Amino acid sequence: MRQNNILRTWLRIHRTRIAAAELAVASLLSAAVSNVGIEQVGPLVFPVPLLGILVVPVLSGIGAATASVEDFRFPLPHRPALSVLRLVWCLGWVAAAVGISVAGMLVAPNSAASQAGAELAVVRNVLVFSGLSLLLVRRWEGQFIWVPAVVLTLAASMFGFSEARYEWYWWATVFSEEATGLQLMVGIGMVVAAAALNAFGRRRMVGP
Amino acid sequence: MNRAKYVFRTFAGPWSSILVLGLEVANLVQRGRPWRGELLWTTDWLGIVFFLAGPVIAGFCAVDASRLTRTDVLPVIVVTPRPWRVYLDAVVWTAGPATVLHVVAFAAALSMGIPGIGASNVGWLKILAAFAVQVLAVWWFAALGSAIGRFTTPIAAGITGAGAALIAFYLLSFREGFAPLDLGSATVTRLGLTIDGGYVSLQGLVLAATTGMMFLLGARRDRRFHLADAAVAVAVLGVIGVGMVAGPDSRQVPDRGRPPENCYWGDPVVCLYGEHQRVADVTVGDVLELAEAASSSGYGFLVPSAVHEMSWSYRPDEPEIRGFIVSDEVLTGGRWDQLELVQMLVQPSHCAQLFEGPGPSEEFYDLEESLVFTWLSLLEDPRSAQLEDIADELSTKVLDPEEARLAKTVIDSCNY
Repeated sequence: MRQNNILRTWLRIHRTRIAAAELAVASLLSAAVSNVGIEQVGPLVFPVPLLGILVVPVLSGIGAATASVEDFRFPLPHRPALSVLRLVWCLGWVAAAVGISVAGMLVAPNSAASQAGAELAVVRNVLVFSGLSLLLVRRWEGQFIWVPAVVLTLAASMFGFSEARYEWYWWATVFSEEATGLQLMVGIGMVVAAAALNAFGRRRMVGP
Repeated sequence: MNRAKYVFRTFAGPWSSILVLGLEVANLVQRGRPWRGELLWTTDWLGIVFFLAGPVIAGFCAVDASRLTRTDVLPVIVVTPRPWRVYLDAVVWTAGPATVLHVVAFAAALSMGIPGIGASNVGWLKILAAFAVQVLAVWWFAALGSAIGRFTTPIAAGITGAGAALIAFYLLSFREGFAPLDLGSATVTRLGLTIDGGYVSLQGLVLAATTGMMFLLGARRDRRFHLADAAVAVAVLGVIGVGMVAGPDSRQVPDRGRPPENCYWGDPVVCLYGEHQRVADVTVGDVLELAEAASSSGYGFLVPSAVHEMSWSYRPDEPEIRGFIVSDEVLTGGRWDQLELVQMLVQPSHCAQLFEGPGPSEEFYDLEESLVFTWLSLLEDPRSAQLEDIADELSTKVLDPEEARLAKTVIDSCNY
């Protein structure tokens, strides 16, 4: 009974429901767009069709970070062990976001994108967007965690392609269809660093 | 001053101006600014920034509106007698600064186009109308975000507002027929085109009306979706729908087709539009260089007597005048690619079948190609980025003067 209460409290003081809703929408979207190549958005024509599944991770990443936003207006009791739990909670949500994005894409029939081997690119994007969104979960009550991921995506779609080299610039690599080992490592690094900063960073404390 | 301080502390929206500023600057400096000097192209180029700024503005306005309706703390809305004024404040202090930035960007872009910008014949009233539509779009995106935020929790408001703006832009900015959010976009010259006054007027009406209506959506103290909100939402969709069904088809229409007015008297005579005066020197120089190479080697008959810049509504109508379109490399400050320029000097732009219908026959392309490579072979070291990609047997297809004269007669006849 007591443990049940702790679990419920934990779920309550985090934005669990909204995070879950965002991940659910993201998984549906990644199934829906699994073989969609976006050629044009409004006046913007992409030099090479942009895979829809590379954009869905914007939502997956924001959703994963949302779960780490704490929803209370005054400091809560704090124990060092809680920091570890926060880290595990945070990384667990990112792992779930990676899982549902890839799964949504794979369950869709005749997925052209998955045949092209874009799974790793999706994993990379979820990592990158989660890492960016996690940067702001402890600022302004988490209301602006969407800004870095959205601005990066918008800027990349307009300014990210190098006509000269006929490929995406390094900072717009979230749009390239193949992920390198280095990119995945950087993505993991971003997530772990941001998560650790949130979990172990200084916070207002009460209690002994 | 105190008011600004209060607003910047209370609302997030005003801070979005920093992002909007960055986007405006990036849009102004990228890709070598080929639009300089062209009034319509400059306006269109600036319109594309709303693909980025629109979702950002909508997202920030959504967060602000959502914070005003939050139920877990006492919101300012509850204690004011007229809650809509607080929503209005949030929108005004987001869209207002963005409007100022866009006006400044427009002024900067126009001043970069001096002196060519003065030669435009599009008409300032039409350009101002098209620009006013862009400014209205700022307010439209702000009102959209604000309306969405009033029914959303703050943590999900930003992404919901930004996502809705992106979807709206996708659906309403680029389609066959009337598009309320078609704010202009162009990566090639707009010379020879003009704005359809009726189109932009209707855009202005639709955007202004729906901005006002979206602003009324849920402008009260709670976050519930009332029946009246549903009515307003349906009305917004109705106005947009009627516009899309009844509106004119294209924002830009061909003008009356004036020939280029700035002529440089050499052999051949080179004429450009006033808008492109800044590339006149390099164009005339590069054309004369090719003409001299041909004349001094006995191929003088290949050189036309005049070369005219073409537009969307004008091309030469006789074989002695060839037409050209200033390439992007030249508009961004580079020199002409000699392969491209020779192609334009060889191409019989008075022949209609080059521009409409199924296009000319295989024979035409063979002859044109031989003439182009013959001309290029007269140069010591042709300046072209494309030559490396072209197979050797093509680039060695050289005609002697008699063959070349015959080939030119055939392609000038337009019979193929």
